[in-house]
Amino acid sequence: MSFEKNTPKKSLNIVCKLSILLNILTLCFGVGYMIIPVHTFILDFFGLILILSWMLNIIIIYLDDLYLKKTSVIGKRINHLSFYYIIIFIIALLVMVFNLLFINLIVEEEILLFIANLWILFGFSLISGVGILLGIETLLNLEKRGVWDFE
Amino acid sequence: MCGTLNKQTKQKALNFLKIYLKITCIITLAIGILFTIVMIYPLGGIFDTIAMGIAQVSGFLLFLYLLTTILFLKLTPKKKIQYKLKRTDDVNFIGPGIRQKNMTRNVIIVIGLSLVIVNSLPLLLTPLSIQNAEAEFEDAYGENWRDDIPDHIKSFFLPSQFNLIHYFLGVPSRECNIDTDIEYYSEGKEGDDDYLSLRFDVYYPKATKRELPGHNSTIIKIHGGGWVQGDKSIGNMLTINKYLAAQGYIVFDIQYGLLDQEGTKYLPTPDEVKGDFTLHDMIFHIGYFTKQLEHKLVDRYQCRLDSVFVMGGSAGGHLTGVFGLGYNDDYFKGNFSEALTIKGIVPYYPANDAEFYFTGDLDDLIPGDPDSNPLAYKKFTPSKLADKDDPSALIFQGLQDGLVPLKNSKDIEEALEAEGVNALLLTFPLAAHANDFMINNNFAQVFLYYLERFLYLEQL
Repeated sequence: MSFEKNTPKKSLNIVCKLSILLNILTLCFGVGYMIIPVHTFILDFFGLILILSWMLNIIIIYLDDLYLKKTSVIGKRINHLSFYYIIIFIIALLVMVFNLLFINLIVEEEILLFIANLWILFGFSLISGVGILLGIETLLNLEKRGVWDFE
Repeated sequence: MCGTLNKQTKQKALNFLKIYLKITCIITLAIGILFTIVMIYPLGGIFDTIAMGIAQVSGFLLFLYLLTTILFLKLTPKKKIQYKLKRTDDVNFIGPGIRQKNMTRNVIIVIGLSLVIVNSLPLLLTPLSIQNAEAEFEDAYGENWRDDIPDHIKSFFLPSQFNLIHYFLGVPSRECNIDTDIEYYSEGKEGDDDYLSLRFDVYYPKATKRELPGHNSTIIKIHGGGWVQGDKSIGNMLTINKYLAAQGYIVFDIQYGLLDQEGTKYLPTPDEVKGDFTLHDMIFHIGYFTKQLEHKLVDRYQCRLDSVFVMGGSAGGHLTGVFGLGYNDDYFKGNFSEALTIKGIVPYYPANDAEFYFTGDLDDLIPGDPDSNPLAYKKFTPSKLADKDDPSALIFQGLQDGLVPLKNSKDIEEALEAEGVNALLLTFPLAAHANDFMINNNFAQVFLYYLERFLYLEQL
């Protein structure tokens, strides 16, 4: 019985820790890549980390929604944060895709190219940055009483 | 009292926001269903235009659909109260509510996950494109074809066929010099109705002491647009031009005269290139450019005439085929500069069969019809120009292309191979027409990887 009750908590704990770690790695790699864009095989590895970190962020949102007691003060706060995160994630994706498209339309205006790349970096950092916040917020409140349904 | 009112207003606003978000989720998923159908099945008409964009960004769309699904689930209660109608002594009344699992959530999950899975297919099928390309290269250049490329040259190339970081953050842009809007041919006076002014842009490498893979080989790029619209520059995948110029190629992105025809046009097209032009005129314009290249541009840009490549997409792919394969054909004798050595052609999703394309709305492009002018129809069908002295071809073809289906590329490939000429047909599952527009997408990345190697190997 106790094993069953602890499983979602343990899962959330692992997912949060992994997500924070991978988001930090993604952020470091991403910023590095945008500043010094080089073609190396390390990028293949980084690509997988990026996808995995985004997926884990979405899993956290889903698990929070599943197990949070939204009537508690902390539960309400985490729930609001995950709502904001979904909206931010969607906007950031759109910002990235429109700027990737825009890059293909720039002939020689270096400043426009720079701005477009900056927007891509901004969108990407927002996804990872707020993902880290959500992971930390969930992890810090995992042991608190009256916040989760699996207690 | 005031606090209660405030609370009520707040609650109303919150309810309104929830309804608004729910409607947005429904619209997003509905559009997602439409986009996904368009991506996997060419519906024709306006949907072919939509398809041009979707598969290129499907990796982003799958996350968008996943997030919308989660948002929709968050806005949908896990359980709903079901009231049962009871009947006692001929009187109907509603019994006490029972909390039941909300089945709407299951429907949302099924729709959302289906969209995510289908939209991940273009990315998941990338290994198939790579496998096919590898087989084509091994057929053409032997099993150890990579050994023919020295390491210092390889360092300029993409290290792998596909990379997720390039997909989500973009392929780093390369620096090169660009001269734009240089006129090479004109007719009439500016302001007149029949004024024609054809221009080109040129992309060339910045000065360097390093040996670049291109060795100043010349690339002539011909834009698409169904022979009636389109332009050089942003209408002709200019990121590829910059990329190749940075590798030591001199890329000439040229305009040619277009048929001025009524109808829906969605590509930017300058007025001064429109007129009553036939395919013969278009080939004349391209030929005129090659003569300019020989007499004026070769010294100015230090480009090589003994190593020339021709590239173009769609209608530009058709003209690439006619120019590249018809260069040594008597029908076009005198049209092109004779100083060129064409080392390869790169038609992207090229139109091929003249009888199919130029007998309907576009019959003005060839004088007469297939019965009265069979020779012209034959000579404007690239596959019918194939002979043993033709240059090698690298062809890009999306398998979901509703505008120019696979048969066109296949015919060109088979005709060249029958003559013993290398023809490498790179096919891309779920790619539609012009799906190489965004250089970061999975199709364009794979193609670019093999394109840079093809150009290098054909120079040798």
